Amino acid sequence: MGKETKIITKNWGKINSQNIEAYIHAGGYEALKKFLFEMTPVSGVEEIKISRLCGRGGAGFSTGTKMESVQKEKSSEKYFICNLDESEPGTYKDRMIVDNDPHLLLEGIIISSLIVGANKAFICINGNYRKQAHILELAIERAREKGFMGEGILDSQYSLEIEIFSGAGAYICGEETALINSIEGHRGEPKARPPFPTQIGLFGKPTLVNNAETICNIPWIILNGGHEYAKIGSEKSPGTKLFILDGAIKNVSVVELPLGTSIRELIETHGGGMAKGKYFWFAQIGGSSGRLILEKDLDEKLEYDREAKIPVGSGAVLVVDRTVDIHEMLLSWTSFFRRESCGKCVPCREGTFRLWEIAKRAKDGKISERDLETIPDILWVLGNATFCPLGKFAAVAFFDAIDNFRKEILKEKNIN
Amino acid sequence: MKIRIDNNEYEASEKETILDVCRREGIKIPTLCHMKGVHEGVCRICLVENSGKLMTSCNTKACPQMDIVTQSENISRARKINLELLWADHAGKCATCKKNRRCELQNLTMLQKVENFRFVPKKEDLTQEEELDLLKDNRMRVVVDEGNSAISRTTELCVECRRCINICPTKELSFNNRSGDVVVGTPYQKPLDCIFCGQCVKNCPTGGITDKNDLDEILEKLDDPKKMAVALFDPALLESMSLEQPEIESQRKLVGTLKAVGFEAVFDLAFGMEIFIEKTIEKIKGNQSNNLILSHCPSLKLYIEKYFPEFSKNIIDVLTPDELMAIFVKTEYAKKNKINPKDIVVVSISSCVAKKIKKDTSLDYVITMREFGRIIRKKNIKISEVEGEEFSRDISPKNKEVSKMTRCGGAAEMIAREMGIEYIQANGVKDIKNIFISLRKKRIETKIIEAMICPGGCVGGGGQSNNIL
Amino acid sequence: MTVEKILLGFDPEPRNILPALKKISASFGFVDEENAQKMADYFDISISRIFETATFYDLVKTKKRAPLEIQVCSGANCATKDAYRVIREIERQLKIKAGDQFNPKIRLEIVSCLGQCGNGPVVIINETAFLRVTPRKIYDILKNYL
Repeated sequence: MGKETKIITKNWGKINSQNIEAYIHAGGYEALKKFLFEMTPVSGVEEIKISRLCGRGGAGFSTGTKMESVQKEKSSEKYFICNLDESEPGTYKDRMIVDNDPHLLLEGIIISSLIVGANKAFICINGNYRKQAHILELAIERAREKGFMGEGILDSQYSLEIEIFSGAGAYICGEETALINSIEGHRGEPKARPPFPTQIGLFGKPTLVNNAETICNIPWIILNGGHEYAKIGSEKSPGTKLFILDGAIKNVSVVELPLGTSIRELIETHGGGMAKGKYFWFAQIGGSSGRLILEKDLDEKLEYDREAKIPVGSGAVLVVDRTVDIHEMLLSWTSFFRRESCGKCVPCREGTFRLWEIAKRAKDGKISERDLETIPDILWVLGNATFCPLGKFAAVAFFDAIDNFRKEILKEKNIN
Repeated sequence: MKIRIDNNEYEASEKETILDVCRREGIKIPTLCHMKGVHEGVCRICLVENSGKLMTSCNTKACPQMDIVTQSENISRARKINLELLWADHAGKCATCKKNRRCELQNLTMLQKVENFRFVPKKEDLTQEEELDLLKDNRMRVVVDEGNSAISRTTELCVECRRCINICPTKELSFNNRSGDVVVGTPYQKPLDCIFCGQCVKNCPTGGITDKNDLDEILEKLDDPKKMAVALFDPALLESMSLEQPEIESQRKLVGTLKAVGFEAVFDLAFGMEIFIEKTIEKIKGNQSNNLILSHCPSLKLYIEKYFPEFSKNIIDVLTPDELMAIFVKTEYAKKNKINPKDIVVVSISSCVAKKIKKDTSLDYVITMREFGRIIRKKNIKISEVEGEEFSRDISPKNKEVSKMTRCGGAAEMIAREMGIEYIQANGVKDIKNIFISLRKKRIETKIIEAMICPGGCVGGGGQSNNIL
Repeated sequence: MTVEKILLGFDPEPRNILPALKKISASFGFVDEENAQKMADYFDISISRIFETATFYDLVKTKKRAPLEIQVCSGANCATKDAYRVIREIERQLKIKAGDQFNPKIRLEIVSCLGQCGNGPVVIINETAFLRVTPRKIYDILKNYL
């Protein structure tokens, strides 16, 4: 497989994607047919495990393993949830997927649901994506007309209903247990694990929650086999990834590239390098919960790996140039988490609030010795003692900023 | 299974949490949000370490191969920072707080030796404008509710532990908003209008939800030489008096302490219960209908009015023991002892918060065990030096057995035995609701029904003191 | 459309609570106490549950809205493109402060990412989105609303 393999974006800009005929003409729904008539759920999971596909939402957990555990649950009712509640700042790849190839997503959802034995799937879409929800509604209607979903899919014994659940605006609902809470009509607070949603999930039933981008890989894997997929990209995490390039670069765009691509290549080759008159200062990888990268780290490869220095996260790459005020960035990060913490646990609710206050004081040049003393404490409890990973995320960028740009942050007060 | 805790092996079942095992084995772990049966894991105080990773012990089930450490540098660091963060958002006016010295946040802070409060700027570092902004911000977020005569709320002292939300049997309280804007309150910030069972007051770790304050007035009257202060003591409180003040270990000590704070006479409420039973029997005798409801639980009356108003007519028209006894004190007792009833102040020391709503011309005040504890502390009474005493004999019950009424079913049983009639009983809102639904569907037919809102009856009353850390 | 009619469009199942809240909020501008009570009765749960769920989500309002509501995204991407200067400019021109609840007529809110990062900074005025806003454009945008 060459470097040019396109899995998710293969139809982008080439076909009238919202037209189901065009999608079928381009080879669409062939994977579904192959699964229905040549495979079993068990062999389906096997292929996905072989592919070593992992979740593209940020955590990077093995998709096959997760699918297998839901498949193995003995329950007459199971749910599949497509997580399209994309709200990581700087991330709009899933929106682009719906805009450009809604049927690929649907095909992935249908196959995934059937593999795990779910007969009901929810597409949980960001509440601000009204246009995209409409596109999906139409796509579901067309797919139903063609017999790709509903009772007895293509006259097989499989059935599936798909429902669109539009979110109501809360970042934390990207976390799967919080997402489940929101569908159940509760506050979107994360739940304690175990039990994992794969055992006790939506309405107490085994539930598989996958990110939209992850799901879009499934049809390709079913059609071409897990071994072929595993050849793409990096050794540790095969496959391609959508990267969202933004900031002080020439080409602001969403690109699909093999995992293992270096940050430098992303920025220089695909982002077209720095925009005119802008000088690289740092880049943030993976949205507001992502790390800050200096020039020296540009050759780091982006791949899903627990030990990776730079987590890929959502795949957002924000290039920040020297003209940007670091204080405004601090305010942006801290105000985001101060607003989006669910408020349930003490360190996150209070910690994100105090960090935001410190960022405000830093902006006004009034950061005190006392603040400098408390910052490591707040970052530490956020990183180690919160209920869910949001606390950890809230500390990442602030930590890197204090670590690397201490002088700039304290500039106005002249304490160091 | 076996799990390791602090290098010792303990037997544990898979239903148990780490906290359960530790409590059973006497290993101390502090908590702020935990309650029996509630495992929120939100205060992040009950942290322990499992293979180097911090986790909350209250909502982590025991697993084989666990190697738990309950004391480490990281654990105490996390606890300290969490407490400090809570303090930064806490009004911190301990000296004037109703829960002073009975506050779990205060106690934990001392226990964990938190000495610095660094998350809020020092006052001298603030400009006047900033201070004004903080005040404005505060006013926007703080909700104070003094809209009823039983329970006070102020979110200024709330630590968002959600105990009140979890314990509230009628789900009046909610966890509103998100992130730092979170407020534990009522929908649309309405004044609390509930059945005032007081379970939230009992379980609130801080001064966020407290008994309505009558103390200043009471203290004044206790000290007023022209007034005769009479205490009616609810025997249900024998359950929890030592939780409020460990040195009150006997009834004698208790009566002595009541005298020491200034009550001239201390009567056993069991006498009022006897009147209650007599009056109730009379009423039942004159009533042909079935499904009559005993009237001694004021929360129950409120509950019926609110949720099952069609059964209001089934409530037997008898006042509560406290009211009956207060009337007795101000009439027959006053006459016999030649005291002007206007000079008598009747204070009921009660296990019931809802009775505060009931105070009227005869029953001047109703206070809980917690409030009695505050009086003791305010008056600086050295309980160890107090002489034990007996209840005043002027008014005392013929039969001590009547105190059984403090447990749900006690009153009905006595009445039923005496009259040879049938009864059913229920305690706790869940069971009571089921009874009323059955009544609605005419599936129940009995002579009398005893229902008490608090778990177990008055022994589990909202006015009881709680075990605090 | 009456609130009863909206509710009858949903089965009284938990998964419809949030969609119903959103719809009522969108139809009436916000979910008032009376409607929240009706929802509670319809779904057979307490009004406190309805209210705590409603106040959790950005797209459900429980307070009467101001005639002019401005939202500016301050996500990191927008921040690198001068979102904060845009905010300051709006504050200056309208003489208000972001986040203040005291002006009954105008409310300026800083909001989280809206997924339009390529086109930031994003300003939303009474539900109309303006993309690639610069401080210079503020005057022209705002004058249509004042």
